[in-house]
Formats: sequence, C-alpha cells, structure tokens
Amino acid sequence: MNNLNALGTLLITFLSIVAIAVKLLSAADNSWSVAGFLSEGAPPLGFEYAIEPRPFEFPKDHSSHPKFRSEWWYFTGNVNSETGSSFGFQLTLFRFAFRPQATKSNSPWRRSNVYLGHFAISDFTSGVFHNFERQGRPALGLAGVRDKPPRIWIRDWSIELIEAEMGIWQLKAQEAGVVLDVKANSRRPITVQGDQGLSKKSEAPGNASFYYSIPRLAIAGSITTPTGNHQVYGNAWFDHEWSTSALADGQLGWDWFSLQLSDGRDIMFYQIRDRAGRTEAVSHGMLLTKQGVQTALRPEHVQITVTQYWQSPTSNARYPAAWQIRIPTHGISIRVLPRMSEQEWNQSFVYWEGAVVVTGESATEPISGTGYVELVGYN
Amino acid sequence: MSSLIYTAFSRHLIKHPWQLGLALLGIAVGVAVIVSIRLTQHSAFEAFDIATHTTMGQASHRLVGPKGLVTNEQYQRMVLAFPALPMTPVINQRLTLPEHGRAIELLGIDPISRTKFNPGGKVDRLWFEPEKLISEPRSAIISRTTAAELGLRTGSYLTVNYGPKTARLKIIALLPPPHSPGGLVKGLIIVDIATAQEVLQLYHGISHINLLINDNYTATHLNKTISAAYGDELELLDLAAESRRIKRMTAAFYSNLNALSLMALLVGMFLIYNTETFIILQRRKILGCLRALGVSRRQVLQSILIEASCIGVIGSLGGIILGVFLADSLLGIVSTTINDLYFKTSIDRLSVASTTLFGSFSVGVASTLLAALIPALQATRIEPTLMTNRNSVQPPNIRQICIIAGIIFFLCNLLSWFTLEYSQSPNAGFVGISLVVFGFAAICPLAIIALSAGTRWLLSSQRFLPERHGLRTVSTAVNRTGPASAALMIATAASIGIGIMIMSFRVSVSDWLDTALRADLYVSGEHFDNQSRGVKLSPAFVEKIERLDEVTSTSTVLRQQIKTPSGNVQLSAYKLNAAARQGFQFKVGDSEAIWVQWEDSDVVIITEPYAHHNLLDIGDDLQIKTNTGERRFQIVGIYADYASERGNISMSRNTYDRHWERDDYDGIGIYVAPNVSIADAASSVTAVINANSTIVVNSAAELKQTSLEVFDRTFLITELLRAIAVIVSVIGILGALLAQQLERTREYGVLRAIGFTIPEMGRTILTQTFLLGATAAMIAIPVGILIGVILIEVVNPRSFGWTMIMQIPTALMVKSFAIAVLAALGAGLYPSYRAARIEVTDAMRYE
Repeated sequence: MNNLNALGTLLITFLSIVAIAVKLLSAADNSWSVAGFLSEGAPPLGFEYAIEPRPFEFPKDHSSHPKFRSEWWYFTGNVNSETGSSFGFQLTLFRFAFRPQATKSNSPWRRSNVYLGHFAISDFTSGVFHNFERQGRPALGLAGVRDKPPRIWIRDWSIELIEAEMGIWQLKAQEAGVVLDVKANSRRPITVQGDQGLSKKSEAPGNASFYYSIPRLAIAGSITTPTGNHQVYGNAWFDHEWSTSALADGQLGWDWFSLQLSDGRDIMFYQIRDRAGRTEAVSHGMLLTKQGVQTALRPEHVQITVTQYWQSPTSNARYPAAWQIRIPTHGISIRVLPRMSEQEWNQSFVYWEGAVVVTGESATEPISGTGYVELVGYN
Repeated sequence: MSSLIYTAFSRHLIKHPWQLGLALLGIAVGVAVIVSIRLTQHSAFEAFDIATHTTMGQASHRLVGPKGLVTNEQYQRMVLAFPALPMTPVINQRLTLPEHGRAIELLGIDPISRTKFNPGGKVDRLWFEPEKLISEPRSAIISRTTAAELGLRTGSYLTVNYGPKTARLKIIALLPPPHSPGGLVKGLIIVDIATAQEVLQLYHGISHINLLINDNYTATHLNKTISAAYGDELELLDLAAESRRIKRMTAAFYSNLNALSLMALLVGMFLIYNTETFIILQRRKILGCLRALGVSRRQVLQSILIEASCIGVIGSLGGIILGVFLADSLLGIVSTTINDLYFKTSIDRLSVASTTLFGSFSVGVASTLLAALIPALQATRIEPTLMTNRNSVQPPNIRQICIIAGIIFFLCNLLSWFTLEYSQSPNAGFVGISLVVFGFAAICPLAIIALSAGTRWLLSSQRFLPERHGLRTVSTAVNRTGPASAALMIATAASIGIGIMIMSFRVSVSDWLDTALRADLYVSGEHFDNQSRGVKLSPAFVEKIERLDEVTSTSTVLRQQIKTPSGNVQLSAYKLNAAARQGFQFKVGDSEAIWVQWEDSDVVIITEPYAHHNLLDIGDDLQIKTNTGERRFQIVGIYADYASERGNISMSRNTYDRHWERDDYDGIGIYVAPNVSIADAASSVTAVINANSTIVVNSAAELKQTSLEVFDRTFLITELLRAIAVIVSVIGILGALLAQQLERTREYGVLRAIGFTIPEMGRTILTQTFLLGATAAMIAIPVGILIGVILIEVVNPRSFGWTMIMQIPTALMVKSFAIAVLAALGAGLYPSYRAARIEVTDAMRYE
C-alpha cells in the first residue's frame, strides 16, 4: 500500500512537472504587437522624428515617408446594401522600416521595409467577422508605395488615389472569396490632427506622429462575402499617420474613436492609457462640422465612461464594449455600441477594431451615427 | 503450495547463476539488437522530419524549376497569380568553409513570407529578430551545435565560399537544437534571401518556392493553372508524398537490418530453450517431490511459465537498456549511410520512441515464453515421486528424434519453398530464410548423433577410449546439446549468408564499375546531392576539351528529371563513342540491335531497378513528357546499373535533341591518347577549366574508389551487427556448454575414480565440445549458402531490382567454420581445467 502511495505521488509530481513545462513552453510563443513595435527600444540611427509641425503638401504626402520608421493608411467604413444588408469594412496597409534606407545591392530582394495589411469585412447580417492579414516584402513590385498617383499595395490589396482633384480613392482587397471593391469620394477636406498635424503621443519630444484624416468619404462599390455580392453605399474615414517613435515606456495602449454623426459632424478622439489604466494628458481629438470648422478636443473636454465589457473567447482579452461619451462644450451626449462584439483581430497583433453605432442627443435634438473604434493593449 | 514452488525455483536459480545469466543474456541480446535497429531508424526519420520542418516550416508543396532555378520573374508571376496563397522563396546551396575545411548548407529565406509557414502563422522571434536578419546585410543564424563545432559566437564572422566566390557572414544569433521550439538542425546556416543572392552572386532567381496549399486552392487546381501558365517551366511537388517516398526508399535498407535483428532474437530464443530444458532436467527431483506433495500439473506449468516470464521481463528490460546504448553508437554509421544514399540530414541525437521500446519488450517476453513452452510441457509429465532419481538422464529415443527432426526439416523447407515461389514481397524472402534456418536447426540433434556414431566407428581403437566416451555422452545428452549446437549453427549460418550476399554485391558493383567506367577521365559540375543542381558544362567548354592534344575522343551526358505516367525519373542523354558503348552490360536485349536503333529511333534503355519497380520489359513503350508534347519511346534494353535504387532511363543525345532543346551537358568522359599519362591529361583538362568554376575532374580509378567507399560505408552497419550477433552467440554457446560441463562434475568424479588420467579427462571434454562445434559449423555452411542464395536471388532483386553474381568466398567459410569450432573448443577449456583439479571423493558426493 505504501508503495502504491509512493507511486501515486511520483506520478502526480511527474504530471505536474509536465504540465508546468508545457505551460512555460506555450507562454514562450511571442507575437508582434503594434504597441510593442511602436515603443520598442531605440530605433536604429538615421530615422527622422516628428518634432515640429510641418507644412503638408498633397497629393505628395499621401504617399510614403521612408525616413520615418512606421506609417499606415487606414480606411474604415460603415456601408449598407440595397437589399438591406449592412457591413463594416477595414482596409489598412502598414509600412514598417528596419532602417531609414536600403543598403545598395544587386539583389532585388534587398529591402529595408516590410508591409503589413489588414483587411476585414464585418457582416452584421450573418454575424461573421471576416479578417485577413497579409505581409509583404516590397521586392519585385509585390508590395510598396507609388508616388504619382499615390498608390499603396500588397499584391492585390491596394489603396489608390484615382482622382487627386476630386479626392476619389479606389480600395481593393480580396481573399478567400471575400472581396472589397469600392470607390471612396472625399466629402470633407483633408483635416490635420493635433498641433497642425503633429500628433503628440507622450510628453517626450519626438514621441509623436504626423497625422491627417479625411473624416468622411462617400463609399460606393461592391462587397462580396459567402452570402453573395452586394452593391453597397455608406461612409468611410481615412487616416494617414507616420512616425518613428510614438509610444513611450509605460504607455499600454489606446482607444481610438472615429464617429460620423447624422447632423454632419465628425469626431475623432483617442486616449492613450498608461499601465494603471489612466488616460494620459497628451490624448486628443477634434470635432469637425459639416461646414469644415475644426475644433480641437482635449481630455478635459471629453468624458468617456465604459458601460459594458466584452471578453474575447479567443484571446481572453477583456475589452470595453459600450461607452457613454459626453462633450459638454458641444452639447453632445452619445452612446456608442459595437455593431457586433466579434471584431477582434487575432493575428500578428491582437486588438479590437470594429464598426460601432451611435445614438444620443446633441443639445436636445436626437442624433445618430456610425463609426469605428480601435482598442489596443487589452491582451 | 505455490510459495513452496517459487521458493524451490528461486533457490535453484540462485544456486545456478550461470544458467540464469545465460538465459538473461540470450533474451537481452535479441531484444537489444531489435531495439537498436528500430531506434536508429526512428531517429533517422525523426531527424529527417525535423530538418524538413526547420527548412520548410509547414510547407505542403514546392515549386521547382527544371534546372533547379526559379527566376525572380517567375516568382513574381506566381505571387500575382495566387496573391492569397502562402508562398515563400527559398535558396539553398552547399558552401564550403575555407577556414574549417568543411561544408555547410546555406538556406536563404524570406522571414516575412515565411511567417505563414510557422506554427500558428506567427513571426518566429523566439531566438532571433527577423528584422535584423533582413535589414543587416550578411547577417546569419546557425545552431549552437554548429557554432560550437566551428568555434563561433554571436557576433563572430564566418567566411564562406561558393566556388571562387567568397563572403563573410556575421553570426547574429545562435539557435538551440532542433527539438527545442524554434530550434535548428546543425550544418545549416540561415540567411535572408537577399543575403543568399549576394553570397552566391546569383541575383536573377531562387532555388524553389515553398507553398502552403490550403482549402481554397487545391493542389490539382494549382497544378492545372501552373501547367497552363508555365508549361514545363515550373513543377509542383507534393512534399508529403516526397517525404513518404524518401522514407520508403530506406525501407529496403532497413529490411536487411531488421532480418538481422530477428536472427539475433532467434539465437536468443534457442538459448532460452536450452536453458529452460536444462533447468527442468535438473529439477526433475524437485518437481517429482513437489508433485508427490500434491502440486498439480497445471501448477507446475504455471509456475515454470511465470518463472520464464520473469526471466523474459528482466532480460528484455536489460535488452532495452543495452539496445539504447547500442543504437547510440550505431547512429553515426546509419547517419553516414543515409546521407550517402537517401537523404541529407544530420541525425543530432537518438530519439527514444516508447512504442518501439514497448514493442521490443513484448517481443522479448513473448519469445521467452514461447521458447520455454516445450520444456515446461515436458516438466508437467514428470511423475510424482519422493525417490531420489539420480539417473535422470534417459538416453534419447533416436528413432523418435529422427522422425520429428525429419518432419520439421521437410515441412519447414517445403513451406519456405512455397513462400519464396508464390509470394513476391521482399519480406517473403525473410520468412523463407527463417523457415530454412529453423528446418536445418531441427536436424542438428540428428547430425550430432550421426556424427558421433560415425566418429566412434572411425576411432574404434582402445587408444581413443576418452574420445569415444565423450562422443557417446554428447549423443546420449542430445536433447541438451542439440539446441546449443543449433544456436551456434544459426549464428554462423546467418553470418555466412550475409557475408556471401555482401561479397557478391561488392564484386558485382566493382565489376560493373570496371565495365561502366570506360573513359579515362570524367569532368562534371559538382553534384552535392540528388536535389541540388550541378554546374552545367557549355558546348564551348566541351569543344575546348576536345581540341586538347591529349584527348582522342569524348562522350557526354546530360541529365534531366522527366515526367512519366509513373512519376518523375532521371533521364540521361548520352553521346557515346564505341568504347563508351562497351560500358553498358545489357541484362535483357541484344546489344547490337540496340546500338543500331540507338541514334535515330525513339528508343530508350532502362536500368534494372527501373524495370523492376515499374514492371517494364523490352518492347514496352514508355510515355514521356517532352518539350514537343507527350511522346512514346520504346524500351529496347535493360542494363545493369547499381548507381540508383530508383533507377533511370537513358537515350541517345540525338534522340534527346529531337524532343528537347538544350545545348549543355552534365558530364564528359574523356579518352586519353595512348602515349599520354592520365595524370598529364588531367592537368591539361584542369587548365582548361576556369579557376572560378566548381567543375571537377576525376579519373576512372578515383570514381571507382569513391563508389566502393560509399558501398563499404553502406554495409558497415550490416557487418557490425553481424559481428555483434556472432560474438554474442559465441559467448552464449560458450556459456551453454560450460554450464552443461559443470553439471557433470559427478560424472567426472566417477571417471577419475575408474582410472581416467587428467589428460584423458581433457580429451573427453574437448571431444564433446568439438563435436558440437563441428556439427554446428558443418550444417551452417550449406545453410549459410542457402541464405546467401535467397538474399541474392530473392530479397535483393525484389527490394532493389538488382541482380548480382553470386560469390562463395572460401576464406569466409573457413573462417566461420574455425570460429564455430574454436568457440566450442573454448567452451571445453574451463571444464577440463576443473575436471583435472577435481577431488574424486567430493565429486562422487556431488548432487
């Protein structure tokens, strides 16, 4: 009997060791994170930093800024089909540089950049979040940025300014039977964010980006999902941002809101959170009226209360999933709700980026709207 | 009551440690050999899988170009045609390390597109920064093992050569061994794809494209699209099928080794049988008493079998431990053979598979029980008696032995003949061999009796009384001496049989090399392995060689992978002169008729293995995909070739040129003018070769030597195992005979008491053991030759398709005979010594 007990103890000990080892090994599985990349150590020498406001020049500034370490072109939108289906879409192309310029080489593969693409269609009718990631090396013309006219692409995913005068963009992406093929027609002027386009991410000089948006673009085109091909119309938001060092140590992530209200006003606000979950003072945003009047929003102008949370079954991250937002200076009191919870990205980066719906009041008038919210740093 | 039996048994065993040790050794060795063979095979496969995984990630398919090159433009077109399909470029090439005098395999990867090939599709940043590898030119990663071998650390520089091109790589990270997550096999240096192009100074392309074909794109759809868009430019390989094919190729190699391990087990079983029989004989008295005390037959059987299974368990456990150690030392040899013949992989460590261990353990225990069954059944027939029955050894019933032995012999050989005749599988050959061996083992007791009687008749003089006495006792104790002799016979016969096969194989290969290597010098682009491309020789280069004064004529060959309905095969297109034609030994087909059609008709000749594997004969048509479409080629000859196990196809260069458009060559055979020395001609040819190229010149003698070295390396493991089997069985026999002689102490006392002198005692004992050894050796020779015949005529043609000229080397026979007899004589020495020192009175009281 004693022997049996000893054997049992031995077995349990052995199993525990195995279990711990397995746990440790699986924990060693690292993945990229946007926040990680953006705050990662000191970048190699030679990159430029966003320190002072600079004049923007379009369409030149639509293309890439290779002297900066990271850059992204971000289209998000809410669309409806004639048959009553509604969708959210996201097409983002990132550029990350390893060094400010490529080493000279006879090899066409010798490049110093990598491109990353995120393409998602949120199908609210069927409740499916189709999301695809692509990485591309800008070799052999398989990914890259062209200046004239501006075009950013990874293989057959592309963002292209097809009519510079009119501000019409063409967005194309497809994978696994899910297709986005739409034109985005600018309905608002190019709007620079932060201090004349310099968007500070921390108090340290250089921890900033150059950032401009087109807050409202009319979308027309088609979306194909397994449920069929849909002619769609709606609104989109475009962001273009580039920087070398954005986040400082101790900053955990951010919540970014882009909202298009039924009264024609557009709101962008992001709050950077520190490790304690506090909103940092550098957080900022803007409100743009239909007439094109832009007002800066500081943290003290915007009260954001999380009213609900959602825990991702995939990553176990707990994300805010409903907000009460008050901007008293503009008489705005709105409720922001995800159009569906399942809009989490779980590939190279884990984050939540999803379409939201807005309801509430402006002064006493009821207003509604749609938008996109990005939640980073919750995993 | 059972406890009484077990106490009796265990005390008996403790009092006879020799027997216990022998039984344990027998089973342990059998199990050890099985375990070691299985484990080395398992480790080789695992190493192959790990290497595959390290180099290819989870790639399922590979796109290759016809010349081992996919151009940048082809890659670009593929990516644009299938933008969502995970696809990654790879460059691999063997480089030399001038500072270390060895080679290393360069693997150029694109860490970005490779991401999709990592587990979970995540970036592999466990041990290094992919960004660093991409952005820092000339940066490289190697395994810690390789770093230690080369004396490198993170930050060290390593000079690599690709032909005349030199580059310095900076080691930015060291990776752990391949069994750790993110680990790396040794002998590999990983660089970014751009760095790889820069090191090789080949900027226009890559080696191949790895693909991960998912549900959206079935391989067939892709295949169709590729052949529509690219024709023959690119070819899609299914890596899983490739890996299976490569592993299957080694099956024949391992089947030889497995047969050898079974033979070892058989020897082990005979030792067990021998021991058990002997133990039962010794226990007749105890068993009789136990039966008289009320122990049932069933209890006797049960307890003997339980005892046997205990021995089986302990012996098998010992065998497993021994086997793991043996496997560890065999690994290096197996690794060399596998690298020579099958696939490039470095087997870093022994991988101990629990299933193998458990399987071998079960086989060990089961064999022990099986071997113990007959003696156990005999034990149940012991009548209950409390009388001391000293004369327990009954003279054997010769008639009965004759009949049983005759029946077993006849049945086994008949069955063996049937198996060999009616089954086509190579394994049937091994079953046949086992049956023949078993049949002959059965007549061992018979042979002992006959030989004993015959010798006694010869030594009828009174002077030979001690010898006659010895012969007589061997014959009367035949149920004890028979199995020992049979075990020795099996080991000797297996050794002779395998020896004959290897010798015949080697002679055939050597003859073939002598015939095939007609030219004096051979020039070729350096070939590293079956996959990598050699440097092609240009027509201008061939012309330059032909213009040399030292050269009278040349023959050329171009090799290419071609598609046939039964898969890909290597095609050799030969331009042959009269002398070179002599190099083909046709096994089937008339050489004159072949050479008449050779140049102008669409005919091919195929090698023996190719004919065998694809069931082809002359007169058959072979459908081959050519540049001008699918074409039929008639097979006009089957020729001897030991170079490739899969076999290949040959046609004339004229025929080739009618269907393909190529103007380069893979090799040139140079015929040197009669008055010029080969060394002088070689230096003139070397002078023509651009110092910057990797083209090599070899003389026929050098090629032959290298080929035979590879051959010898291949069979090194077989030789080694054979030696182990012989040594162990000799030790086993030694022990068995020794134990038997020691049991005769009382008999020796009697002999001494009736006036045997010490030398006469020695003569008696040595005669006994000599007779056993001689019987074993005499039967082993014909059995060994039979095994050799089956291996050569059945197993090898069926496994590989190779025929060979049988050789019966006299030296081997003599050596084996001598070893068997010496082993037996050696077993008599110690008992003789003991018998000489025996105190007559003590001995009489023994038992």
